[in-house]
Amino acid sequence: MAVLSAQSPSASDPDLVERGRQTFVRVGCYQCHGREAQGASTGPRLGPNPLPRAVFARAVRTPRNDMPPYSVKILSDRELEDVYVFVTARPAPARPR
Amino acid sequence: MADGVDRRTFLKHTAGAAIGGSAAGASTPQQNATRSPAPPADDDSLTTDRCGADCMVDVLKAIGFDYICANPGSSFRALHESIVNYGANAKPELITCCHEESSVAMAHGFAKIEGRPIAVIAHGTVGLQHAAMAVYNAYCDRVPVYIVVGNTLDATERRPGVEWAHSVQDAASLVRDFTKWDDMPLSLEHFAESAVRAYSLATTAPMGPVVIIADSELQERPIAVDFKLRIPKVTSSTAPQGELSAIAEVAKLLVAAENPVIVADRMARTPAGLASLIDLAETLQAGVIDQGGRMNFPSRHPLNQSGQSRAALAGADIVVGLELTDFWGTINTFRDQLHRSSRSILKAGAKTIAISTRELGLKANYQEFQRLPEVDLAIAGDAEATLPSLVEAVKRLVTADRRRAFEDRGKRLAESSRNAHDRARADAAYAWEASPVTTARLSLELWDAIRGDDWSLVSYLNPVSGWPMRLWTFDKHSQFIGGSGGSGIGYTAPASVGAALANRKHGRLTVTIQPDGDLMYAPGVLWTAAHHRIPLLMVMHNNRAYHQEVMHLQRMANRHNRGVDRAHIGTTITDPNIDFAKLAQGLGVHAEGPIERPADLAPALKRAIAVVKRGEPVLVDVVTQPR
Repeated sequence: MAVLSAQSPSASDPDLVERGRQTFVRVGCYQCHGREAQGASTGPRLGPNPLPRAVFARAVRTPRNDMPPYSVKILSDRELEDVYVFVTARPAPARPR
Repeated sequence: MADGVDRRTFLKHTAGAAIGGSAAGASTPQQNATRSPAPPADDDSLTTDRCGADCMVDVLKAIGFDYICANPGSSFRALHESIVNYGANAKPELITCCHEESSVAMAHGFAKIEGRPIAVIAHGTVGLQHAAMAVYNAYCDRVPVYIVVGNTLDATERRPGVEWAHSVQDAASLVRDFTKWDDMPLSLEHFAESAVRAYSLATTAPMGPVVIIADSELQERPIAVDFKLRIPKVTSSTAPQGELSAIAEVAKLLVAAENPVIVADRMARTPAGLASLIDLAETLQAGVIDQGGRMNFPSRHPLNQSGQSRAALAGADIVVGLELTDFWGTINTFRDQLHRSSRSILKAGAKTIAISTRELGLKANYQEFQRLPEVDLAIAGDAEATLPSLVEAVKRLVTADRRRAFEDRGKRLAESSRNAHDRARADAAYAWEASPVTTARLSLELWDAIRGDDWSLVSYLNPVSGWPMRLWTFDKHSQFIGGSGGSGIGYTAPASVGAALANRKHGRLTVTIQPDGDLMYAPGVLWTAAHHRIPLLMVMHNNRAYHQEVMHLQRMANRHNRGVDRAHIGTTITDPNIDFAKLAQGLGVHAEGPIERPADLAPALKRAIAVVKRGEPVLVDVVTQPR
């Protein structure tokens, strides 16, 4: 099982965040989780403060629920890392509405 | 008719024609075909002052239909003419529709607001085929829709060409698998009796669509000016109530239970159902899960556990299902992966009780009845009609000790409900400034715009992640009508117009959150709304996709290790993007958009509501996130 590296790129690097955003959109994460990973009835909010890396990776590779599985053939470990960076970098809302 | 004899002239000159019906001499369609009458004189044979369709209008008026929705068709040309002239186009008033699917779905939406049906006329073969999907939705949703179908049974009377293509031996057979009843009357007396019977059956729980064939010969038959058709009394049966000893047993189990959970789906047919469920829940201080088939329970009631239904069910020792569409799916998970699997949500020993009319109305072919739930006690009866007896039975059994336990339980549930609402408000704030607009922001901006009015939300909530039910305060029966029933796309737009038609006389602000793919099935209903001055605020949830299918394609693509790069093919509605505002404007509806900046939404809604309050439909196109 692929696990995100312990020394992941920083979520404060705008280039890496942008690369993660592009992957997030290209592989269709946003269709269920929203373009800002904000969550919907079809998929939970992913960030900020996502699941721990290993748990996140396991949920993507071998989901326990109905989520489509992302094998390494369609999402490399590096791309998965990019997605993690992107969701980690999502801003928290100012206040509840 | 043989030898060039005009059948209508012939009928006018027979004794039977003078009294209009068949029993005393007027011909049935079959009888006409076997007679060889002498040709009548020509001088007075071209007109008549009354026809059979006038009697049919008398029947429709006696039943009490306010409206009749139709796209015009020659197989009911006489009935159409009688409605607008003989019947003065009032009760029923003819609503001009651009598609028969729209006619039926309008009737579907109307019935869910008003609690009683309006009528539809559909044209022979082609009209009913257009209508079929909407009929299926109404059937699945247990909603009464009353459909009159024109047809020309007598082959010797059909005009050459198109009328043959529009005629059928057994017109209702097309929809018989998903209607409650149908008939093909052979005389006007027969029409009157069957029309009244059809209404009674359609409106008796479990409710459903019915079909009556109006043969063109019966419609166009000349009748004597003073002929008066006898119309039977119109009586709907009371709803069947659950058997009382079984109700007493349910009450005993509920009062003794530590953690009973009540689940309601197509339960509250009327405001009385909503009130009864509140009474039952408050008496027991039991949690309620509203699955949204009807407006069953106030969204902000402290006992409402819909926002944490899985946890509520997992902790239940008794689950009572009220008119559940899918009891099995309520208490089991189902995993849609390469190897499908399921497991029970319930803890060991939990009891399940169903109160429902589902077993009273099942048919075999179409499989909307879901998996067998294997409940511990099944009570055949209308849940709304049964609840008052159950409430009384429960109240008789409550002791002071149990009441104290109930109060403790109620406090825990209230806290859980409050927490769920706080979580929803916090969740809605994420991506608040995002473009496309989030469905949470769409829902909250809409709520801010309408909350001061007597509003009615008439669209289903799944496409927008259920946000309105999580964030708004629903506490009146007219504020929500559930979904389509059969999940046949194309329901929301016409059903919303029909619901708005029903709400018009009550002065309610009708609001719908309109999916883009759904509107594209039959957008002509916008013209119907404009033409008949039906006030409706239609806010587009324009995610530019058949999004449910996008997700299915993604599931297949990932399952097959091919990735989602091509999942948009055949599932998205882009290139070109549809300009829904221009579409609506072209159909006579005030419209604006597309709105892509979230800050533009609130002012647009304010302007739109001002137009709706003048009595017109409005469309606001909002480009949204997928869900």
